[in-house]
Amino acid sequence: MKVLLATPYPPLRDGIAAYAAQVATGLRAEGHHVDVCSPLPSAAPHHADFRTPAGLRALRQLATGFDQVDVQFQPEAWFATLHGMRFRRHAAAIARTFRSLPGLTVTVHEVDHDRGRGRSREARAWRRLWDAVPTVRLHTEEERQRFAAGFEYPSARIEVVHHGARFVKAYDGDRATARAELGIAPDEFVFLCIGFVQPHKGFDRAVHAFATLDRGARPLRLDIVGSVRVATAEHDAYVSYLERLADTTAGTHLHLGFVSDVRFDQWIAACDAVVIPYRTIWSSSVLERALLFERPVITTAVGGLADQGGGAARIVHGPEELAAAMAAVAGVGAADDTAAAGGSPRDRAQVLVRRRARALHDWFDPLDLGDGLAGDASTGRRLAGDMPPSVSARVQHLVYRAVARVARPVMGAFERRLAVVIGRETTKLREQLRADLAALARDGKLAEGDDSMRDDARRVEPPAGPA
Amino acid sequence: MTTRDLPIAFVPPRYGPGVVGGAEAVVSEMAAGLAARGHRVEVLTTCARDHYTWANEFPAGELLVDGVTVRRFPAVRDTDGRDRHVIGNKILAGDDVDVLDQYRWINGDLRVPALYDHLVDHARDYRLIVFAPYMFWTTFAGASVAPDRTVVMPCLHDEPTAYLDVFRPQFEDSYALWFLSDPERALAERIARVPRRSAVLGAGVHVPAAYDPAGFRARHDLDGPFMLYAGRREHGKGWVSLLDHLETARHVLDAPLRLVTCGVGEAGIASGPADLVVDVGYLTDEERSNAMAAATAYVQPSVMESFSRTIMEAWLAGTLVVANDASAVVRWHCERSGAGLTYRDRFEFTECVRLVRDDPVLAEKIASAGRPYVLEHYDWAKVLDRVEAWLGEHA
Repeated sequence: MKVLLATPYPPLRDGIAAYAAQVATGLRAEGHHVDVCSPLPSAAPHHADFRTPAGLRALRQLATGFDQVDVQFQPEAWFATLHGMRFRRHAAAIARTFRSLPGLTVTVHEVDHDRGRGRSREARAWRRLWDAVPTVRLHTEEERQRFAAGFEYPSARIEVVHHGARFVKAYDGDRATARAELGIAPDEFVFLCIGFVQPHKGFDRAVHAFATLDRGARPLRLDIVGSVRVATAEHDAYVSYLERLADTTAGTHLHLGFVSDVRFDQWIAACDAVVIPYRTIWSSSVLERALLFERPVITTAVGGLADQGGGAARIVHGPEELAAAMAAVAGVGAADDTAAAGGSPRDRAQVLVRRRARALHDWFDPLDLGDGLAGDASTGRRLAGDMPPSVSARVQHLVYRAVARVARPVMGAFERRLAVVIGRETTKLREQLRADLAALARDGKLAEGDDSMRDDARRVEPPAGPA
Repeated sequence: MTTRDLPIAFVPPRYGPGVVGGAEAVVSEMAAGLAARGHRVEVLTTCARDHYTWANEFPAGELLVDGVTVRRFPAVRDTDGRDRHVIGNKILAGDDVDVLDQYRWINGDLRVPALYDHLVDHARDYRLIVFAPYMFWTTFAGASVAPDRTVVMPCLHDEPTAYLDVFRPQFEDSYALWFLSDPERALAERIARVPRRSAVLGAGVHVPAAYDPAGFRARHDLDGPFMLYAGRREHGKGWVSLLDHLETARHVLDAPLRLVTCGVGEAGIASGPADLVVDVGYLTDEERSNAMAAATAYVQPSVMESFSRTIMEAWLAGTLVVANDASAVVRWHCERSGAGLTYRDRFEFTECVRLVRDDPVLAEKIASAGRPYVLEHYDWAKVLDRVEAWLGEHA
């Protein structure tokens, strides 16, 4: 069978690209002829910018002669914008393209299911787009339910495919070898966070939880391995924050930089447990690779991770649970800092409240962004990290901005006008006073040396300002 | 007749049944308590019950209530309120407001000219004239009439109005200030040169003979643990922030405790954590005490507290207090008593709720220190002893 993959592709450092490469490898291993068209120039033989009509046209032409087209769909690879007329027009063009592709299946990544809800024109455009797809593939049952509900898409046309079904190891050494190569002592218990370093990955959560472990019981370490995918102010701030945390948390090691597929798997082979403390996500390749190496996984219950992990992963919902899970996996206890508080039950409880609240703060809002780290509501809002903003504060802020926008120019014009009027009136008054003084002097009624009235006249000066 | 035979006048802006307010309650109790101990006591106040409208709901004139002569004067509110509103916003924003504008602001709402005339005509007929709280026109205007026999119970909070020039004379020129707590006195001393006869006399709370928590639950169809907030549902009392914090708690905890609230003011909970809030409306003192006993924790979200009678009531009922740490007074009570937890943000509030929900035994243990604390410091008999001792020494 001739299969065309339309997908991000290596050497792009991207989970979907890596996933697509593994899919291509798997299909070839099954004897299929596989060709790949990526949205950017890559290791694939073809590329076309799917965000443009020309790119879609190229894809349609390329697909001629294939039996099956597999699309790895991620919104940012297919749309330049997700709003307005431009989005709707392009969504319709994609739908037309999808209808023309032979044996189409679309594997959906990182799509906000809520975008299909409601009666907005954007929502209707999304629903029409998916309606053009005969089969949608997702990685978890949770995603299937949300996708079907969000886009009013028939559940029967959704296939749930195991994310790691086609994954193969890129490193074949064992734990001892990997440790020797990475310079890690054989007797240390190693927690690993690996992947792109960005706020929604929540690696800081692992550091905070690690800090609560009783490291006197056995040697422990936490390694955070990855690179920054896109340099933004928020990501830079997050990296700085993570560096500070690592510097001040004994046993934590931050390894920033490019990670090859081999090095990625080498780290997984070397570790004792993989920690996936994400704030938002749909599904995770890291989780699949950890399971591939049969390493224990601790993951937050975000997006479809609980489903994806099945019974093999420990699912946590908050900072205390994460710390407890890490302690359990490592076979150590938690350090008790309430004992140091001494004093009354109240004092100890207050210390406990403060410590837990600090953990909550770090869990939800480590950069003090106020309303938490930006996340996508569809990926599991509760405990996923995107704390509810203060509604009243937002409303107040919006009202203030609206009023200020209207009032500023009005007040400015008023003040300028007022200054002009005051200036004109004071000038008149001063001239009148001068005239009166002159008349008094003329009539001999102003005594010599009596300057008080002249002082009054001098005091009535026009105000400084725009007048 | 010596000066000591003359009546002591208390001047609150409102007085009588249905009046809600901490300062008003303290004045009412103190007046009644001193009258019961044989002092001649008068209350000079307005005909208003509601401090939002200042409508004259009580008849003007003189009335004897439980040994206290109550003289009511009509509240006047005849401005369009624009000065009050505009200048008030500037004050709250911390802008510089000149003295003339401060006068326009204080005179832009409630005024009681007949009360002022009465004080001008009769100030010498009183042994002492006790005004409370500092921010109302009754105190602002009245305290200037006869400073040599004026005592102000400022009920002071750390707020922009406390620093206004127009209030400085009552803090500095009065015969004395009576404070409700040490932190309140400390704040006053930061703001003004406090008269040397000033003292921390505190306030008292009545100790209910019995509580009926089961009856309260039954009457209001409540089951399961809940937190309670009793008081004015106003922005200034921390009500809005409490709802915001409750919303956070709901998102973090599977099932946070419900919040039962009683008091005046619109609860305004059409959205957000509406399903967690039960508004039982205005309650009598007795029923409020029952509510305190039925609650798992009492929440005090207000920063603007100079005493916080409700936390005392909660502790008397054996209930844990969870309070806003930003109130120096309430924090001081919680730390001194060892019977209350404080929170500094939505996360600490959430963790307080979690602790109360998950460990009611610990909550009860912490709360158990509250009742002895209140009985030792804030029993009315002891407060009145301190007032009489002060009167004996200074007036």
